[in-house]
Amino acid sequence: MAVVEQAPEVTPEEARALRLAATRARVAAILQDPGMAASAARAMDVGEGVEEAPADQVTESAYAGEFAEAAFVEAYGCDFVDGLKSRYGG
Amino acid sequence: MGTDACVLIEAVRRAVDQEDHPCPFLFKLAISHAFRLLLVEQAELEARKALAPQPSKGQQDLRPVLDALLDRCLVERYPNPSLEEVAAAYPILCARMKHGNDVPLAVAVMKAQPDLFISANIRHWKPSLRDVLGGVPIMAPRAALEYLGVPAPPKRPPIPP
Repeated sequence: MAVVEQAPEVTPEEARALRLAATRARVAAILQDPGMAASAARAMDVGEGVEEAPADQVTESAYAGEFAEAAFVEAYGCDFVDGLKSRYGG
Repeated sequence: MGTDACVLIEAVRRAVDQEDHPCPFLFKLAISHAFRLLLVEQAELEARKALAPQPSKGQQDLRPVLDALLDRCLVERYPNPSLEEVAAAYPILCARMKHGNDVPLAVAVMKAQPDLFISANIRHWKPSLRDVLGGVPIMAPRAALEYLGVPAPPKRPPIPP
């Protein structure tokens, strides 16, 4: 009787880790380009420290989300937004 | 990689101003096809509203710049969740995020399961949201670049008082 081997199951976390490893390999290859490496260094230098700011501040971004509500209303309708907000806040 | 509207907006504005910043560099990697961008309908709609002409702020129409960037990336667009899905998730997500307008985006991220979700708004998009979003890591742009293997510069010594 033939034995059918089952492929080992990959969990979603394992699949994500595999994809991340592939992405990191592509990023590493891209950074071999001296121009990209220099651009990366400048971007990381500018960004240093911004994520250590107090959590009650919107950091990094000069954009404060003033269009988020307009987009919500356009997508779902004002009554719906108001109804949810009056019940749950936000 | 999923992106919040603010990452799109910052990438466009800083690209126009030719400023170095993690957001436009994330787009440089996306243009080089390091990864695909997951673009949720709600995030794109919000970004387009913010990038539309705003004469009172002296802002020109920046939507064509966004289009030009996205045209060069591998983009996977994802529709907004239904009203019912948003309403069902709202009590849990809004309690965590303290921002109801981002709940549709969070529900879409929960459904789409990108490998990473990037937002510059760490007030609403806290790393601890990962638990309720099915394990999707939440990171700010610079942290995301480090996570993807972009080397961070050495820490500067603190400035003496």
